[in-house]
Amino acid sequence: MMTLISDVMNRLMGRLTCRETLELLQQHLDGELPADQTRRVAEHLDHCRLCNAESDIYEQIKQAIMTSGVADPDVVQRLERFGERVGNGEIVD
Amino acid sequence: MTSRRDRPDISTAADSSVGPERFARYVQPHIPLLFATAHTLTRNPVDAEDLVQETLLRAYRAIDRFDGAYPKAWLLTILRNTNINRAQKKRPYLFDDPDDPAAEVPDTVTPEDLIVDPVFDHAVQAALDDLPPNFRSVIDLVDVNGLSYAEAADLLDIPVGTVMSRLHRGRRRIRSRLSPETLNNRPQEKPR
Repeated sequence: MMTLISDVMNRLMGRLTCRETLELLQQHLDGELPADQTRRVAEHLDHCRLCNAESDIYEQIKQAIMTSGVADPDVVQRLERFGERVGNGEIVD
Repeated sequence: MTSRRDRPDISTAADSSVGPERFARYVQPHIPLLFATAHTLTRNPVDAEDLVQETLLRAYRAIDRFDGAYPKAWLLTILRNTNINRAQKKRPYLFDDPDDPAAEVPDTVTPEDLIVDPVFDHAVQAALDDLPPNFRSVIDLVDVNGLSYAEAADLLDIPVGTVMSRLHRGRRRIRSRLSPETLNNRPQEKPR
């Protein structure tokens, strides 16, 4: 019932509904939405506590995944040295 | 394979530099990304290192024909093609269908599936590790390696819509596996 009322209110205010916002949320967090839709999702999140909480959770999941993928610095260094040698023509095949 | 994160280098319009300079400029800065992406594709650090080495050699041979626009996309294409060639050499008659429904897990989560590790990052990692490989690859490419949906789609040779679907379902699966206790113990400060 609350969601229904909230959807009607959002519609009247020209805002996205909760369902529309949650459908766009992942693209929003990934920076894949065009500017106008980014603005509309952000506007909804500013006014909706539940969607904002959901957005926080997914943002923190994304952050936890990002920090989990740190590559082995030794391998990267080794590859960078290899890249320098390739670039200098020391290794051709 | 272009995105907002890989704008062309306008200053290269009249790039007359020679091979080594071009290689240092367009290729070498992307080596960490190439390794991270290769690791996602191969799931094995040794294979990933070999794949990057072969990619670098191919990039060097092609550098004089590269126009300087979208170097990241250019390199990821070489990486993808190199990986396909290597996979075909390894197992010429075998293939698997990443969209095989049998390879996926249902989105429904039982109480036994919930991860009760109170440390948020550990719990997310455990849920991530349990994802099917086709979901995991997309999440790694976008969240860990920072690729756009279009770049991930090109690399995996799947439509952008499939990237979105796997990404969203994978994250939803992770979220649904976190226990209320874990969610209550997540970092309070919003990461920005």
